[in-house]
Amino acid sequence: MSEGRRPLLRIEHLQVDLPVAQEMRRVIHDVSLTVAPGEVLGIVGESGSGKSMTARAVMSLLPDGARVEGRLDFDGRPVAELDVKDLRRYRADDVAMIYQDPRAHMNPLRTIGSFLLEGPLERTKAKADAVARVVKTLKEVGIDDAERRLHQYPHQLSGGLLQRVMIAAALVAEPRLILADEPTTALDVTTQQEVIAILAEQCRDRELAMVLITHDLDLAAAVADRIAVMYAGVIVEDAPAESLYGGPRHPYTAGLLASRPHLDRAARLQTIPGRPVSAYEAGPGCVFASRCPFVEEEAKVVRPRPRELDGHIVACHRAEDLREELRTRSEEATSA
Amino acid sequence: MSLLEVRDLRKSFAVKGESGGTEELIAVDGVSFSLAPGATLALVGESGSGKTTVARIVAGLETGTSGEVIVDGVARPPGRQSRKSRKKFARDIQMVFQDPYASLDPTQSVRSSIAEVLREHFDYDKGRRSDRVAELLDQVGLDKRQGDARPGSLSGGQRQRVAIARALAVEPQLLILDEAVSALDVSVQAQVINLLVDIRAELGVAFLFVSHDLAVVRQVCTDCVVMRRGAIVERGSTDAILKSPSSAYTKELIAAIPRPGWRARRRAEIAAEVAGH
Amino acid sequence: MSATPEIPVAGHVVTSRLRIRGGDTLIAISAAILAVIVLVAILAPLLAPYEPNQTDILHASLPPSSSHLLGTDELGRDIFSRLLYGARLSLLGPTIITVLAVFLGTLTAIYSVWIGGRFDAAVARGLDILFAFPSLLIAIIAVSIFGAGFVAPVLALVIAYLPYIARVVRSVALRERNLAYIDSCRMMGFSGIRICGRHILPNVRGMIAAQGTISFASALLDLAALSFIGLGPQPPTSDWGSMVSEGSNELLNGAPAQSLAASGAIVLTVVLVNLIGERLATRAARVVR
Repeated sequence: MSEGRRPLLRIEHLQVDLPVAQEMRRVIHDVSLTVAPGEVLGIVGESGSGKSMTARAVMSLLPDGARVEGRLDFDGRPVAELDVKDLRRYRADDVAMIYQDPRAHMNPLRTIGSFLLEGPLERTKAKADAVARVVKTLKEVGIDDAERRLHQYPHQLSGGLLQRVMIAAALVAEPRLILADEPTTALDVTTQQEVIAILAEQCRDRELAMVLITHDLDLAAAVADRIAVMYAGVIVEDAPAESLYGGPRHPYTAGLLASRPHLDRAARLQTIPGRPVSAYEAGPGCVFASRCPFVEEEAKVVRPRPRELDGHIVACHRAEDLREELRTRSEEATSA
Repeated sequence: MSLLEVRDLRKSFAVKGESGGTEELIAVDGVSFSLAPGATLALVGESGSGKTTVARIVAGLETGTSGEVIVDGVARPPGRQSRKSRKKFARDIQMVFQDPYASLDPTQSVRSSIAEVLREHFDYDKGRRSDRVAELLDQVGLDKRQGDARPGSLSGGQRQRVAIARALAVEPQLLILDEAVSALDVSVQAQVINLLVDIRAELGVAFLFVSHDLAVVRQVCTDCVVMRRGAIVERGSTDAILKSPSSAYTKELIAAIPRPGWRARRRAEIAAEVAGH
Repeated sequence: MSATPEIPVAGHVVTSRLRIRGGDTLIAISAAILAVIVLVAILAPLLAPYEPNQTDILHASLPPSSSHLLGTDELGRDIFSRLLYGARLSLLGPTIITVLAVFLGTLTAIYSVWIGGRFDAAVARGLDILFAFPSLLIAIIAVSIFGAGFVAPVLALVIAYLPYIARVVRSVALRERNLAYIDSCRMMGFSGIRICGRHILPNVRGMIAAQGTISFASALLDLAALSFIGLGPQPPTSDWGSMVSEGSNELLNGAPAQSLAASGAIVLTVVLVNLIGERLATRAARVVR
C-alpha cells in the first residue's frame, strides 16, 4: 500500500447523504482509500457510483445540506475541522481540481489571462512575476504562443486547448494533489492522449499526487498506479493497476472488463444484466447483489466488508471462491 | 443495386471571419460512398470530421450544398423536404440519436410514441397495433410494463432501446445510428451493442453507424470510412483498416486508444520518434 | 404530500391541475381566494343588495352603514353593489385579452419556429417592433379611432400583448424544435401540424401558462388605468377603474370608501394572479428531462 509513508490523503468510512426533493438520499455508503504523495490513484465507476461526489468531498465542495460522516484527512489534518481561512488555503494551494467541462468553469466574459492570474495575484503583488509563472506553465502544457493566448477569451479556444488551460491553472497553484474528474471524457481520443500525457508528465516532474476519476478502465489502467473501482457508493475493489486489470477479484470489476468492446475482434460482448444503480437504490446487502452472476443468499442480506486478498482489497463474500472463475473469464475477455 | 449512394456530397457554411468578412466553412468536402442492402458501414472520425453532418444530410434533416443522396435508386430532392417526401423516405431510412435524454418526447408514454409511428404508416386496427407495439418492445429487450412509462422514469439505456424500437416500427431498410451508444455507461453500452447486432441478424436492416469509438465500430460494422475535416481519408473493411491502416491519420487514431501496455505520449514525443526514422 | 385542492366554481367542483405540495399553500390559498372573486363576479346579480345603476339623490354620499356596506356615491348608488357588478367587466376584459393573446401569440410563435429561416427572422423582427410600443399607447390610439368603451381597449390590448406572449413562446419553442425528438418526428414523416401541436406545444405548455397568467394581471392593470382616465366603459356602467376615478373627488372630502374599495379590489386580484403566475414561471423554468 503506502509503504509506510504518511499518506497525503486518507479517507476512512466516508458516508455522504444529499438532500433531494425534501428527503436525504445516500450517495456514498462507505468509502475508504489513501493516496500517497506522488501516487496516481484511478477511481473508476459508472453513473451513480459516487466517484464525483468523492472528489467533491475531498475538496469540501459538497452541495448545501449534504450530510457527511467519516474521516477525511489531508496531510494528517482533518479537512472537516479547517476554519474558513484554512479551508480557502487548502482549496487554493494544497488541492486543485480539474473538471470535465472547462467551459462551464470559466467565466466567458473574462480573458484566459485573467482566469489564470486570479490565483497567483492573491499571493503576490508582483504582477510581472505572476505573469511569467503563468506563461511558463502554459508552455509546459504545450501552449507555445502563451503570451497571445492570455488575451483571448474562452470561446476562442477549442475544448482541448481549454482543458490544457484548466490544467495550467491547477498547476500554477503548485498543489500537492490534483483531482481530475473525467478530464478527457469530452475530448477526442487524440486530444485525450495529449492531455493525459501532459498530466502524467507533470505529476512525475512535480511529484504531484493525482486522483483520476473516469469511467474508462483502460485509461485508468494506463495511467494510474492503483485503481479503486466504485459501484453504488461503495469501493468494491482497490488494487495496483496492473494486477487489477490482469486479474480482477470482484465480479463487478470482472464484468466491467469483459463488457468493453475489443479493438482487435468482433465478438458477442459479455454483459452485466440490468443497469448501474446509485447508492440509495441498492438494497441492504451487497450493493452489486441484484446484478451479480455469482450472488448467494448471504450477499442479499449482509453487506461485505472490504478485506485483503492477494494484494487487492475486495468487498465480496465469495472473493476466494471466485478467484479461479474470474481469472478464466478475464483471460477470455482480454486475450487477442 | 446499392441501398444508399452518396455522390460527391458537399456542405459549406458562410461564417463571420475573425477579421469581419465572411468566410466559407467547409463541413463536408466531396464525400462519396455506397452501402449495399443489409450491409454495415461506419463513419469514423473525431469532432469536426463532418461525419454527423453527412449522416444528417443522408437522413434528410439537413441539405447539402451540392452532391446527391440516392436511396434505393431514388434521389433525395434538393432543398427543404416536403411532408410527402419525408413520409416516403421515412420507410427507407430511420435514425437513432446520440442523446438519450433528448431523443424522446417527455410528454409521451413509450407505448403511445410507438403507436403514433404505426398509425402514421400502417393501416392496422387497434388490436394489431397493440400487438405490434408489444412485439417491438420485446425485440429491444424492454418489459411490456415499461410501455406505459414516460421517458422521465427510464434510464439512458432504456431510452435508447425505446428510440430503437420506434425507429424499427416503420420497418426501414437503413438505420442511421449517430453516436447512439456513446452516451451510455460501459456495461449498458455492451447490452445495446449486442442488441444492435441481434437486430441486424434478425431483420437484415442496414446500418450507417457514426462513431468516434473504433472498438465499438469493430463490433458492429464490417466496413468503415475514416473522415477527417470533411473528407474521407481511408475506406475499407473494418478488419483491414484496424489491422493495417494505410493513412497516417488512421494510424494516429488507433495509436491514441488506451489499451493494455499503452502509454500516453505527447505529440512532441511522437513527432520526434517519427522524425527519427 | 401532494394535494389537489377542490375549488368550487359556479356550483361545479373542479379539481385544480396544479399539484400542490406543502410549500405551495400560499398558491393554494391564492387560487382559492381568486376563485371566490370569480364566483362573486358571476353571481353578482344574486349577491348585490341593490341595482348598481339605481340612483337615489336623497341618499347620496352616505358613509358605510349596515344598509349600504360601503356607503353610496355622489349619485346615491350603492358602492358595494357597483363593486360586485364592476368585477364582471374588470375580470372579463383581461380574460378575453389573455385568451386571445395567448391563442394568437402561441400560434404565431410556433408556426414561425416551424417554418424557420428567413420567415422566422422576419416574424421575430416584426414582434420586436410591435413589442416596442407601450400597451397603453396602442389602446389610446385605438380609442381615439374607434371610441371609448369596452371593445376598443380590449382588442387593442390583445394586439399589444400578442408580441409579449409570442416572444416568450418562440424562445422555448425554438429550444424544443432543435432537440433530437423533433428531428425524430420529422424523420417519421409526421406533418408539421402534428409535430407542432402534439410535440412542441405540450412541451412549452408550462411557459405559456405562466406568461398567460402574468399577462392577465398586467392586462387588468392596463384596463383599469384606461378606465381611470375615462377611456374604458362609459358611465353609468361601472368597472373598478372608473370607480377609482369617480371616487377620487370624495377622497378629498374624507370619504374614501369608493376609491379604496375599487383600488383594493384591483390590487388584491393582481397580487393573487401574479403570485400564481410567478410560481408557474418558476416551475416552467425547471424543466425536468
